[in-house]
Amino acid sequence: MYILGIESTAHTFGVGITDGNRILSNERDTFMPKKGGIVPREAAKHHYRKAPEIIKSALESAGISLQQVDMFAVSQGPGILSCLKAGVSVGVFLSRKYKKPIIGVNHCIGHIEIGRLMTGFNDPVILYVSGGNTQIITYLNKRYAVFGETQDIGVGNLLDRVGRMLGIPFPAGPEIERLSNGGREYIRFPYTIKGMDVSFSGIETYVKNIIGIKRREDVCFSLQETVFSMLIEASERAMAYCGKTSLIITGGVAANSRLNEMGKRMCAQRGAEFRALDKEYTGDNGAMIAYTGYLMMNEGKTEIRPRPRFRTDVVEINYR
Amino acid sequence: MIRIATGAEAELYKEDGVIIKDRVKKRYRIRELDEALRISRNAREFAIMKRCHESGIDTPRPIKLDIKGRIYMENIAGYPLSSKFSSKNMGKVADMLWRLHSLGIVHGDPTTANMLVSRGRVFLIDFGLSFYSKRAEDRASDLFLLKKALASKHPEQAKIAYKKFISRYKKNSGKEFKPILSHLRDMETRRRYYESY
Repeated sequence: MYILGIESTAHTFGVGITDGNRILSNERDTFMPKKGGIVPREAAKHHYRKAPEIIKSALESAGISLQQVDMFAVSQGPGILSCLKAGVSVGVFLSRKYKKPIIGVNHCIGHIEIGRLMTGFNDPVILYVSGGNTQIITYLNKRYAVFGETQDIGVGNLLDRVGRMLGIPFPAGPEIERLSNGGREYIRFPYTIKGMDVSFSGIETYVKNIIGIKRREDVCFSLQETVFSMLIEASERAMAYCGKTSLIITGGVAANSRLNEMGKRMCAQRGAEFRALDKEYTGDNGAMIAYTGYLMMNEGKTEIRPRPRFRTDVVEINYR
Repeated sequence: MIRIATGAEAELYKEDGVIIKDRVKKRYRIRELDEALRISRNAREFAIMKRCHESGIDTPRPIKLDIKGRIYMENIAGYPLSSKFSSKNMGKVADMLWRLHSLGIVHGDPTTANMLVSRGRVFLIDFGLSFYSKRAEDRASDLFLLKKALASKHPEQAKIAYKKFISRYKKNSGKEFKPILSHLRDMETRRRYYESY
């Protein structure tokens, strides 16, 4: 059977198709603001405009037609409301037109499931880091329990905000990574870890005060080292606490090679397993929604509506 | 010297009935950061443990801090609360946490794995993230972390356990409870994706 998944929680509109075992296609287009961050209304407009073309190219590369799709899956949240509305309304329209069932999927669980599929790890701790999300998740008692998370802003959000202070356009992650390679001096930033939770707002304020005094390269270098050390330490705490022996890093920030290197080193030191994910599947994509839709096929029916604050740990998992 | 456990940031050894806690070097962190963190945490943990033990809070007796930064402490024969969880112990946890807070100390990582049950008493361990503070916000952060640790690790009993805990804590803290509670509410609604509607 074929499942078509639609992802539109933030600035990426993605469509993926799966037959349940393999990912047949994974197409996307990302809204790039000319300046500043994501303006919800403009991002949603982009999604509506791009939807037909991306669905078409996803169908083409999977080699099927819309009539052959057996089920639709949409990402319900968490995310930006106006962007979610775009994906959900496109999905609902298609499901009514072709008289096929539709299923709502939690975006974060999509990231987890595609990560498990791609690495082959059965029961890992997942460090999910993106613009808006920073969560340390693991499976426990029919839930993906969130053990650690940010108490204020997401890590990608912090990188973008620092980027803006340094005059780097959105998304700032890749440029910060490039600049950090020229770092020579380590500046001690606030290192805030509370149990398995982290907090980033103190770092933002700190950076605000040293901009223009310290070299850009050193700021980026120290920022990466501090923030990623906090995340890896929190992940390690979760692994020790739950007795899990593998780690997956996913989400947009997982494209950073320094973060992956740290994850690898941490796992090597504790004798745990680590495998870096392909960039194709770390960022937001439609394939993860399609695949999670396939897994959740037999779960109870839920109302299909955007849920901007959809928490990971409220979904009951019966398929594992 | 035999190794008895590997935690998140330290290895525990046992020698002649004494527990030795060794905060190991972390290869993923750069040296400057790693050393600074380990040195400050070792010193703080030892000092706070000593202060707690002298004040009569149930915690292993710290013996010494050697030059290599290893902490020697008394062995407590018991099991972590997380391994055999029972909400019956929550009253004792509340008493202990309030005594700690009234001393001006915040634990920083109050999970059930950091509480040892031994002969009907509950011992608090692992002060690596502890610090001195009397601010209501910091105290609330301890309650918040405990509440989350209960909900994620012991979901079936979390509600009853937390209720038991908080009513006892409220009684202990008296008129200081109100600001702590308001910070706690604030923390819960501030974090991302609080589905209030």
